[in-house]
Amino acid sequence: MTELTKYWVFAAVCLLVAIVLMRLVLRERLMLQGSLSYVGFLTVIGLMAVFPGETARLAHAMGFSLLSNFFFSVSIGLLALLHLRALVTTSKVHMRSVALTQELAIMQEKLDRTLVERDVRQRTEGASQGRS
Amino acid sequence: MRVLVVIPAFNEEEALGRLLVETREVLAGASDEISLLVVDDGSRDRTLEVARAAAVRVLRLCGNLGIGGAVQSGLHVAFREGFDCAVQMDGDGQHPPGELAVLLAAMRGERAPDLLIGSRFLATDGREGYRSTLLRRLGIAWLRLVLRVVAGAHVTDPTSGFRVYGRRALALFDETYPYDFPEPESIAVAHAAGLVAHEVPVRMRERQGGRSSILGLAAVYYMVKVTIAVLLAYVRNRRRGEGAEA
Repeated sequence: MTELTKYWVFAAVCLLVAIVLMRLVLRERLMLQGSLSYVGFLTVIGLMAVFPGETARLAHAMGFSLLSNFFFSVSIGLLALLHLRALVTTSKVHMRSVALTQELAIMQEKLDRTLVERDVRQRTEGASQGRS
Repeated sequence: MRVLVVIPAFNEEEALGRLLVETREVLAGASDEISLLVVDDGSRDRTLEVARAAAVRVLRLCGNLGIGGAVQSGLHVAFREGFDCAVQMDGDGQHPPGELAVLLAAMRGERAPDLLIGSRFLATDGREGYRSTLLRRLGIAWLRLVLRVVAGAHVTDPTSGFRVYGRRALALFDETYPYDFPEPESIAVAHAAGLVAHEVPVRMRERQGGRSSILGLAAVYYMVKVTIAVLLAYVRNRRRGEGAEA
């Protein structure tokens, strides 16, 4: 098996993951906005597998003597970025959910009090009508 | 003075009923217009039923937000409904309702602070000071130091949740309030925003039910998290204050 063919297996896996990702987006189980950066990551490491010669030249130019070190450095760096992005999104969602939970409780309490007041008013009116 | 007493409660069915009865008795002769608001922080026990049976206002959070989220819910209500101040009092019975008079007395007059903290370590007039475990006392001493160095705040009881928020503090905390372990952090936020914070001596009791969430490894996490949070909260709110001034 040539070196190129061996790496193609990895590229095919990247493509497969990208297809699964897109299917999830189509089924609306993932938002396109959030998954694009993940597709970007798969594209970068997929391209590294398809063009190992160019990747090796780039790695050596950047001071890496082993291609695998370059590959792992890029992958870990990109994954760290993806994770940071996910953390930002999770924090935003958490803050929104706190605010929504609070607003919901406040509105529910207001509604409960309004309903109780209405019941009391209706009962009072009913009683006064009964007397007259 | 219109006062809202905010009682955050999470799984406090044991202590809450007694606390509400006691608070009602204490407040019966008060000259202020005082309302009680229990914030049920998504309890899984009968806390909600106990609070409703006591015929007080109840905010039912549909999920557990933690003490910060629960307290802020009450502060939202106090701010939006135009209360003059809000008292925060724990639902586990650690804060004796009899001390409410001490806190509210300090909030009267023109020199009332924006944030008033009830301190268990400022024992005066021969009243017995609060005894705590050595580990807890060490933690509190560390937080005092952090608040003094970072925010310039001189407080003896940085973890006290028995406190009163004036209108300016309500406006500030309506916008931003720390989520978990909020007491020391909120002092830093208040100082950074230029609010005046004072302390008054109060008595505190052992919790009447439930158990503390800050035990074992959680205590270590608490100290590290709060130290970093105080630092960040102070810097963030200083910037916000400077932005508002500019």
